[in-house]
Amino acid sequence: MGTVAPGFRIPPWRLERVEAARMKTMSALMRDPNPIHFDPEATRALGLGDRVVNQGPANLGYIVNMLLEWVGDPAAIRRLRVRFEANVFAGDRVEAGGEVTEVRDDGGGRVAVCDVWLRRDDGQRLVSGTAEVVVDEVG
Amino acid sequence: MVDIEELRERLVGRELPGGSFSVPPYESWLMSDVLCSPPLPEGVLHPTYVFHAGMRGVGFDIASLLDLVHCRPEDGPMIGETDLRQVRPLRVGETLRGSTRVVDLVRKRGRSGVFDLMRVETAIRDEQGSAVAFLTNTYVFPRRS
Repeated sequence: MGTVAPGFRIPPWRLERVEAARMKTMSALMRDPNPIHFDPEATRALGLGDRVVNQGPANLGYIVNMLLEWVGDPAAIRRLRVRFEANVFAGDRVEAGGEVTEVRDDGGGRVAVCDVWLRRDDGQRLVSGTAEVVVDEVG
Repeated sequence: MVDIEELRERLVGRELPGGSFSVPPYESWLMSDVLCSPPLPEGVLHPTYVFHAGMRGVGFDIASLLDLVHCRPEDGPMIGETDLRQVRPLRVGETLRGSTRVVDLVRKRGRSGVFDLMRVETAIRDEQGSAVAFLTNTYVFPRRS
């Protein structure tokens, strides 16, 4: 995995295709009645096109997946602050990425502060923000 | 269009009804599947559940939250920003309690028209009262009529 230091690029996490069927399950799990996640008629009515829109927390989850694959332990994820910048649609191919900007010892462990993002394969930035992750076990 | 000052007066600083919830194993499985998650340690919830705790730790659901601010699902409400802090991982089956407060509500005008931004803070505690996570969400409520 290499030494964690400013400039270290977190291995990216990719999803080849965002599936509409998964959005329906997510709507049920979240008790979310917003029809843009399961009814293309709703997205058309809002001028968003013919494809349903992925839930924000799912997009957040892809960034979490990238961090989990990097550090291994869910407990290592201390903080995640993000802005949702653009919609992710059914059929999109997305990639979560990140880069370490600072490493500090906060008394509870060595913490990497990272810029994180989610992008579509056309380069559109979808989500961006920062993460704080304990990297004692990473290197 | 609902009056912003009336909304602010009614909501800013208001504690929303508290609630408790727990996540059964099958929901945890489904969430991991939905998110295409890497394998998690036995009994540990995906950290994204902190976000869900921010909704389910409130005494009402998303539909009720929309009613509170006079926004319809078909208006296209969205999450704008989130700040998720995890003290320790949430666990499958444990009872968690949320306390939620509206901290800000402002009206903006952008390219797509008028919208309201509402910032809400939630603290998630376990049955012993120990904090396990904190969440600050900023919701976007388009005002189309």
